[in-house]
Amino acid sequence: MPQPPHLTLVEKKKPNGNRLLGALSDEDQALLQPSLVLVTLKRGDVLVRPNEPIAHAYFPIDCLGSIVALTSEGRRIEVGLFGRDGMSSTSLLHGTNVTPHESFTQVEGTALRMEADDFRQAIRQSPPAHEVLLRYAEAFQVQVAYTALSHGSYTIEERLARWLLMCHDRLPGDDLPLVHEFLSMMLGVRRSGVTIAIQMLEGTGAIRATRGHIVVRDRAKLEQAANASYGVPEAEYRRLIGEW
Amino acid sequence: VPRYHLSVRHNGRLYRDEEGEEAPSELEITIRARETARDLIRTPSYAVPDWLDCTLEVTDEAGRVVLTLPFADALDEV
Repeated sequence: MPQPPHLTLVEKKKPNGNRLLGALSDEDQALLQPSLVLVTLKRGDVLVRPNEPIAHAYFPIDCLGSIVALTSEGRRIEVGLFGRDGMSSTSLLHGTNVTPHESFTQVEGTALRMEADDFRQAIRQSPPAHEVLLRYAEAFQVQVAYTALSHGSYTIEERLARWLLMCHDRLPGDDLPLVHEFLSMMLGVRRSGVTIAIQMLEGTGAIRATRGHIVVRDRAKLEQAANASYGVPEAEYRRLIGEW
Repeated sequence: VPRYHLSVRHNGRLYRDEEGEEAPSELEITIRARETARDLIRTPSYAVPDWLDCTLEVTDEAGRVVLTLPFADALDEV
């Protein structure tokens, strides 16, 4: 399926803060500003621990976070991805401060951090801010739904292409510092299968893979490889929040 | 802890597992190889239309082949 032209990323090289916070009105941005602290997050930092009170809300600037669902048997699979488009957990928006999911930093970088109490206070104080953030929660649940759809009905190659596009959307530049050992968990596919998919995409010229890095060489080819598994959540984000 | 590589051979092409994974023993990596094959059989791929045409080749750090597992054999109960 050809991608609508509006999905082409603008200002890819100019990370200018968190898009979700940028979608708030000037008044609401001023309301949140005093509580936001700039922090640097390292790969593997746990931002939200499962079944423990959420301490902070994180709004990435140039880092990337994953939300994973896990089982008592140690199975882990990524259910959502967030970067400058969003925040570390939507649970606080829905009036709860605990989730069975875990959020952690996948690609290191900077983020704006807010105490959970301050965040709750702010959304109580400003219904319009809460409304914008809830629209993000809606866009995020569409992303989660399409991840389920793509795990259930697309090939490994399509799933990898979709996931790389999602990372490319949220990170500055074409060099994605992704550790390959994570890819298996992210996609819920055994590493041997991920190896095949990476080599297939390299063969089309869409990407180049080196240790710890995947470089997007030709985004159009990557979109072609993802087929219709990519695009609907991205269009919803644009409709509900704005440009990427 | 020894490191093993689980590469897939399909129609004469070897998809080399460069990264590999640690496992305490050859028995443990044999169990994981069977699980890998059984999981992959359920996963659709353009490169591999039929996983039953594949063999999983497990090598150790020295490159010695410690197991050659046709995917079809992974379906047998042990």
